[in-house]
Amino acid sequence: MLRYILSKLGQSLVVILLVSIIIFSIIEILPGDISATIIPEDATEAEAEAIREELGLNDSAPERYFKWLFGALHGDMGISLKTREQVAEKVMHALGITLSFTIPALLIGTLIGILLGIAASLNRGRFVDNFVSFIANVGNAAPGFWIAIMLILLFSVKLKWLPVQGYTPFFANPAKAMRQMVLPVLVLMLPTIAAITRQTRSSMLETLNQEYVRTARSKGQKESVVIFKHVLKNALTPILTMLGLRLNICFAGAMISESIFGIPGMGTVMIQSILNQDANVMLGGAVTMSIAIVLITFIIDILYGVVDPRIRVAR
Amino acid sequence: MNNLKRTLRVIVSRPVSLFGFAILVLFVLVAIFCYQLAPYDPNEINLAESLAKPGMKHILGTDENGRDILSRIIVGSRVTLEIAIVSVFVAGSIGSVLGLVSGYFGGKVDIIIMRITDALMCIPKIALAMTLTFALGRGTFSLMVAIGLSSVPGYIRLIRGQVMKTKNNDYVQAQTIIGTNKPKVLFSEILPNCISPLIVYATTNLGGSIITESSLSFIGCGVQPPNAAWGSMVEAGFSLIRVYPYLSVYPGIAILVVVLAFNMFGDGLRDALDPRISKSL
Repeated sequence: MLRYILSKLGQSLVVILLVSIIIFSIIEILPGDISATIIPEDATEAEAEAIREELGLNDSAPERYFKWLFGALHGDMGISLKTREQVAEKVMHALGITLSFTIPALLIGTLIGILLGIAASLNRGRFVDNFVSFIANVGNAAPGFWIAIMLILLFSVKLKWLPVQGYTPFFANPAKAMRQMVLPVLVLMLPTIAAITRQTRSSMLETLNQEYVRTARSKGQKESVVIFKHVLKNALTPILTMLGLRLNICFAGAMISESIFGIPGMGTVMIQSILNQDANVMLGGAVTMSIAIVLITFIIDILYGVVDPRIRVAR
Repeated sequence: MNNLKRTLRVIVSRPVSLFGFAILVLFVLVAIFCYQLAPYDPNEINLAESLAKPGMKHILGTDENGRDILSRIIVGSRVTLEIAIVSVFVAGSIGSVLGLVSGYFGGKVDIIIMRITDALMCIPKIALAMTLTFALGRGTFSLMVAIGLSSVPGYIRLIRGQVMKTKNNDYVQAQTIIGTNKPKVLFSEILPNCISPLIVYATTNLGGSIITESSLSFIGCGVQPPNAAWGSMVEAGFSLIRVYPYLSVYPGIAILVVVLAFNMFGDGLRDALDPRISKSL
C-alpha cells in the first residue's frame, strides 16, 4: 500500500510541475510586453526600466520560470500587476471560497446521482428510467450559466425565496451565507447528478448480469441485500474514478457561475486578470486551481486503492 | 457506401436520433442563410422600439437598444457553428495525430505525450481556454484556437486507447510480420478502426464546444460586441432579468436545443457505428 501511495504521489508531483510549465508557456506567448499594462504612460525611460527590473521582466523566460517556481515553492507567487497585492494570498483566499461550494455540490450531487441511477437501473425501460434519462440529457446539454439564470428567475424573482446574488463568509452570518449558497450549489450539482446518474445506471446494469449476482439471488438472499451488498459495491468503483473529472468540471462551472452570483472566488479572480491583462494573477490562479485538482484526485486515487485491492497490486 | 446507408437507416429508425438530426439540419441551414432569414438587421440600433415585448412585430421582442432578438439569435447561429466546427477540427486533427503516434510507437514518446495529456486534463477546460484567450487576445479567432486546444487531450486519450486495442489484433500483427512498413500499417490497418469512435466523439464534442464558446462569450471573453452571440445575449439580458426575463431565456433555449440535438444525434451515431454497444445495453 505504501508503494502504491508513493508512486501516486510521484505521479502527482510530475503532473503539477508540467501544469505550471504549460501555463507559464501559454502566458509567455502573449504578444507584446506585459510591462505595458503596469508602466504608467507618462513614466520616463528610467522609471520604466526600474519597474521592469523590479518585476524581473528583463530575464529570459526559463530564468523567470525557475525564479517563479522557486518563489511559488516558498508560497510567493509575485505581486498583481494591477493592484500590487500578493498573488498567493489573493488566490488562496479565492480558492477557499470556490471550494466551499464546489465540494458540497460534488458530494451531494454524487449521492443523489447514485440513488437516481439505482432507481433507473432497477426500473429499466419503465417510466422512472425514461424520466431520469430525459432529465440527465437535458442537464447535460444546458449551459450552466443559463441554468443559473433560470434558477434565479424561478427562486429569486418569481418566488422570492432566495437572494439573487451576493456572498457572505460563513462565520460572519451563517444563516445568510447558507441562503446565498443554495443556488450556486444547485447549479453545480445538476450536471454532476446528470453524469453520475448515467454512469451508475450503466454500471449497475452491467453488474446485475454477473454470475455472482445470480448466485446470490439463487441462494435466497434478500433482494435489498443483493442490490446494496453485491451489486452496488461493485458498481461503485467506476463512479469513484469519475469523481476527479467531475471535480474538474465543477470547478469550470464554478468559474462561470461565480460571475452570476457575485462570488469573489477563483472565477472572478481569473476573469478580472484577463480584463486587467494581469499575467501574474492569471498564472498563479490557473496553477493553484490545477494543483488543488491534482491533490484532490490524489486523495481519490488513494481511496480507490483502499476500496479495490486489485488496483494497488496492479501498479 | 453501404456503411453510410446502414448508418442513416439506424438513425432514421430511432425517433430520438432522427429528431436530433432534423434539428441539426435546420440549424446548419439557418446558419448558412442567416442574413436572408433574419427579419431585421441584427445590429441596427432603434431606440424607439427599445425593449419591446414579444409580439406581432418582433416575435421574440427587442433588447434595450431596440435590436430584434429573433434576428440576433438567427445571425448568432453562424458564429456558433463556425467556432464549433473550426475548434473541433483543430482539436480532432491535433489530438488524433498525437494519439496515433503515442499509441502506435509507445515507449518514451508515449510517456511524454501521456504525461502532458494528464497535466492538461487537470486544468479545468474553461481555465485553460481562459488562459489561452488571455495570451491570444479576445475575439472569434482566439476563441476557436482556445476551445480547440483545450479539447485536444480528450482526442489523444480516445485515439491512443483505440490504437492500443487494434495494435494487438492478429491481422495487424500479420502485416508487421510480413514486413509492411510502419506508416503503412498505421494508416491502412489501424487508422480505419479509429474513424467510427472519432466521428462519435467529435459529434458530442461539437455540442460541448458550443457550451464552452457560449460560456466564454457569457463572461465577456468570447465574441465581442456588437456582434451577436448566444452566450453574450444571455449575459446582456441578465441585468434586466426582473422585468424582461425573455432577453436571457430565448438565446439560452437556442443553445440548449442545439446542444441537445448534437447529443441525441451522437447517441444515434454511436449505436449505428458500433453494433456491440447497441446490442448489449
